[in-house]
Amino acid sequence: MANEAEETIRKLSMHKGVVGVVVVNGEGIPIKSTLDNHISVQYAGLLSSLVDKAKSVVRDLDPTNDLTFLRIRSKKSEVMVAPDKDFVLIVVQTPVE
Amino acid sequence: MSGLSGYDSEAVGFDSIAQAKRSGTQSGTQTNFSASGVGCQTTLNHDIGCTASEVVTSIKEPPGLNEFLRKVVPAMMDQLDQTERDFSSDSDDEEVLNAKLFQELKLHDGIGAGDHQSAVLGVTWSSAGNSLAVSIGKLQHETWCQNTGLIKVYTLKRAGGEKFVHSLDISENNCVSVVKYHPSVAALLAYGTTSGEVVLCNLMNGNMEEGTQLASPSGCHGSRRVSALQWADAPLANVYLIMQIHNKGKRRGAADQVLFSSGSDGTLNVWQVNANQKVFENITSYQINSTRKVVPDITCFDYVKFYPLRASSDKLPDDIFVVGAKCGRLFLCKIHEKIDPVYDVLEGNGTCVLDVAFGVQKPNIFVSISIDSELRVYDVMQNAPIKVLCLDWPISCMAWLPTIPCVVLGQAEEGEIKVYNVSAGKPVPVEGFTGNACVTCVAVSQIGTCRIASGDAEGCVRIWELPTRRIRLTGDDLDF
Repeated sequence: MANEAEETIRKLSMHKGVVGVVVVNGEGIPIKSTLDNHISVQYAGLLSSLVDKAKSVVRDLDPTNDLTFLRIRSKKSEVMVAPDKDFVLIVVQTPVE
Repeated sequence: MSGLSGYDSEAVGFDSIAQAKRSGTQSGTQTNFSASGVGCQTTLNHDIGCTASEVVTSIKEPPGLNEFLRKVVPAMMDQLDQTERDFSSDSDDEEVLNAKLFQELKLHDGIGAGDHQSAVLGVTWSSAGNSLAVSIGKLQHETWCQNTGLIKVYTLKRAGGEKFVHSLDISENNCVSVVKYHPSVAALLAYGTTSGEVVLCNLMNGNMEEGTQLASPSGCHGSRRVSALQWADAPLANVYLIMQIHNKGKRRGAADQVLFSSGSDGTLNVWQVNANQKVFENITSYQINSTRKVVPDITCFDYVKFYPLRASSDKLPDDIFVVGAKCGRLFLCKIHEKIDPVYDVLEGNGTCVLDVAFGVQKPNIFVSISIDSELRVYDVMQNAPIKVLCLDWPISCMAWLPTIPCVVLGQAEEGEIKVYNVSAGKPVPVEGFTGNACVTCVAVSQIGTCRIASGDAEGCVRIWELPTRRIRLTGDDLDF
């Protein structure tokens, strides 16, 4: 029987247009993923560094501010990133035909 | 040895045991240890394979994961729904509008004979949408303008099929750089010339009899090109006419109007005009940015629209106007400032600002276009632009559609017209707009049907009918 985290990720992955969900820990390692292993590692590594950079930008602009969400829209898909202190949730969505 | 880890310390301990003749036992212990470790990892990997479901668990769930997911998943769901809406609005089910060519007017006669092709320099609709004034002349002048200018007025005739017929010619000594009908008094037509003259015509009787033209004093705008003209609407005219009473103690006539003209010399003149009483007086002359000693070459300007019924929560200063310059800067100005009205400078566009115009949906929003194909949306309350849209085709001119947050853009190369949804930041799909030379000016009339007049560099005016009411908008489209 799936636990709470798995059930939540399953729900997210069932959402219209979602092609992948990855949960990354504070060290940039994917701990839950619905994508292939190497793709998960790629997403986790690249987006962790981007989240760190985006956090720095937000804090540099205003030290009392903090990053809450990151959306990267591209021609083919959109990557949504919800960062937190210990984890980062990454959801990849493509437009529905 | 402060840099050593706990593991290093153990190794040192083993070494000392080895010296006590137990080396064989020691190596055996190491082998057992490593074998045991590999075994553990294998077991874990085997567990991953066993799950065989969508969710792959690589390691045991770390503490705090459930709390994290409970916290972020609702926001993520909202964002996913938002994306779905955005993408679906981009989808193919969006209706493609068809623009219909109502009439094409070729203006090759009169001036521009010989090597020089006459171009359309300006078009303007009368308030009732039944008359169109077109200025033709030369687009580029190497030194001084030595060409004659011509304005052709066309009126709509309904007998024998609706079409615009030529009704009047107005000649000038120099090219007419800009021409503008009054937005509510149909008989008033103002124009500016390349030699800095501003002229008011009263077309009440449909001809140019003696005394129907009033001109600005000589030397106006430093005898340099009049770059833009604008009529004040009633509330704005009232502000300036009261200013005239206060400053000069002059009475105002009931039919007095206010006309603005900007010149390449960096001045913006405000005129009190009355065609019947033969009044053409200067109310004030702004010298844009003169206190900073850098006088811009003004290319365009626009005043914020008055909204008397605006909710108090949306109350905004309504004494603002914006001036665009060739250097790419946008100057935010206050009406009541004397001489130099600039209170803020927006360094947005990198190159020459071609046009700037406030929208009608939101009083504080204005759009600027520049020669490097950028369309910027600004809020007067903030310094940075709300949107910067980099278009992949060269633009030359712009006009707002009156009822929706869309602008009509003239294309500089292909000669086509594009309709752009400024709020959503995407083009409105329209078929039927064609052209073969640089569009130099556009004007929109929304009296009944929406008619767009476009003039091009080859002296051709095309009048299009666009079914703007079929452009589908959502509530978000009015939010900017």
